[in-house]
Parts: sequence; structure tokens; C-alpha cells
Amino acid sequence: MSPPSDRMLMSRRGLLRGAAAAPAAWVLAACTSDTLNGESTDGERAPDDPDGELLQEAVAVVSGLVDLVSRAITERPVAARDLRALLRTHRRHAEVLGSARRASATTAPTTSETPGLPRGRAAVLSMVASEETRASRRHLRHVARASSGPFAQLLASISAAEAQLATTLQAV
Amino acid sequence: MTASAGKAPATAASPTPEAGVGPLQAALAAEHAALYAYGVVGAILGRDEERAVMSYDEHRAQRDELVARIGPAAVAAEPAYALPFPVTDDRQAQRLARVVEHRCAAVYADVVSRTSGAARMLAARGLTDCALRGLRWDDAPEPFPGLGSLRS
Repeated sequence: MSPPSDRMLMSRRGLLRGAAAAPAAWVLAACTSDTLNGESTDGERAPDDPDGELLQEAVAVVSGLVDLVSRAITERPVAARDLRALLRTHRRHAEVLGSARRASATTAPTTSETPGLPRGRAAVLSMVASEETRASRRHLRHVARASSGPFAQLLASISAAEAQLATTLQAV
Repeated sequence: MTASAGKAPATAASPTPEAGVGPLQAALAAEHAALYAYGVVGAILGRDEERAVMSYDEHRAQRDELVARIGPAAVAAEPAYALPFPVTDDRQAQRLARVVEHRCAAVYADVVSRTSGAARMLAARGLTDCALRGLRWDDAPEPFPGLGSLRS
């Protein structure tokens, strides 16, 4: 079975196919993944999901970040203000990837180890930034391996978001 | 050429990444437009505006890489582009830079879905670069760069 991003992004892809043929970027249609939040069904999917293992790995990476940032907010309140937006982002990633995992009926990912937290605010933010960068690179490697184009697209976007978060934390 | 070559498609509805460099033409067209826009941004902000110069240089490097990869069929730049709104002051110039990065990110995200192998990775890196340049122009991080309506 393929991740639901496959089927759910179809209408978006159709839109963008037409847009990509336009002569200049200014006339490109807005990127509207409007169907991604819809409920998916398994009925149209093949029993073998070439991206199933990859999806589990991606979920594990995001789950690790959710755990890490949640723990940092709880255990290092001095850094909480800087980290709440990150947690929202990672939970959103987990939500989208998690619904994909449920729909593709893959087994739950193994819990990833989260590193220990340093004491000071700057040290915590620096550590989280490093983990964001690491996650971004891992998701970029996932992009290369994905069989499904729309799934690769989702992973590339998540990788870019994590790179943004790392850069933002490094600037604090 | 594609990663899925020789394999049965996962589902009848699954789009298969396209072979060749065709999808990269959309990215190249976007880079041409971005360079035009940054010319305007730089003119408004002045040559001392380091962010504009850096952004222009990065888009130019990306354009050159795309041209090299696509080869003789590479699409040419249009003589001029219609800006999405009038740009007459610093605030509008900075807004234009953010719009450029958002639109280029959307194009790269689309190209990622339509390619495989080296072309896909070029597009994925282009997507990240746009997302990071957006921060340079005071854009806030977003959960899904290039995938607009997933933002919330």
C-alpha cells in the first residue's frame, strides 16, 4: 500500500501539472494540498507498499523530535518559550505522517532514543537545533529513497521545515 | 532513468515520477522569474542590501545548475515579468522577496513529486534553500514549506 499522500495529493498534482507548463513562475497556481486532510481509504491501494518501511522510519524520526522537544519544554522551562512553536510543527508532521501510517496499516515504529538534555537555555536550544539538522538530513535521504513522488514531496517539505527550525534556533 | 523503472506502479492512482529533465524546466522558469524579481528588490533596497545580493547570487547559481543539467532545451527567461503588486519602497521589496521564495518553494515541491534520482534531490535542496531564504526576509518558519494549504 502507498502512503495516503499518494492518492490525496493527486488533485493537487493535477493542478500543478497544468501550472508548471505556464511560461513564468508568476502565473503558477497556488500550491493547494486541499485534499491532504481528507480521510483516505485503503480500497485503492495495492497490498504491497514500496514506501512502507520508509514511512515507518520517517515517523520514528518525527516522533523522536516530538519526544525531545516535549521533554525539553517540561524539564527546561527556561527554553520553553523558544520551543513551543517547534513542538506544534513536529506534532503536525507526526499527525500527517501518522495518518499515512495508519492508512497503510504498517506496524508502529520503534521508539527512538532521545538524547539527554543539557542544563542552560543556550545549550538546550543548540542541542535541539542539532537534532533538527540531523532530522532534516535524514528526511532528505528518505526523499531519495521514496518510490512515490507525492510521498517524496511531503518528506522534502518536512525536511525543509526542520532546516528552518534549526536555523531559527541557531539565531536565538 | 527513474527510480521506479521496471517496477509495477504501487497503485493505479499513484503518479509515477517522470523520466528526464522535463520537470526541471518549471524550476528553471521559476528561477528566471526570481532573478528578475530580485533585480527589482535590489534596485529598491540598494546595492548595499546584503540580503538581496546574497539571494540574487544564490538564485543565479541555482539557475546555472539547472541550465547545465537541462542542456540545450533549457527554457529562456522572459523579457519581463508582471510583478504581483507594485514595488516602490523597502517594505514592498521585502514582501516581494518573501513571495518569490514562497512561489519558488511551491515549484520545487512540485518538481520533487515529478522526478526521481538526481533531479529530485536537486529540487529537494532547492525547496530547502527557498525555505531558508524566506527566513532571511523575516518569514516565519512553516510546517510544510512549498505545500501552502498544509500550513495551518
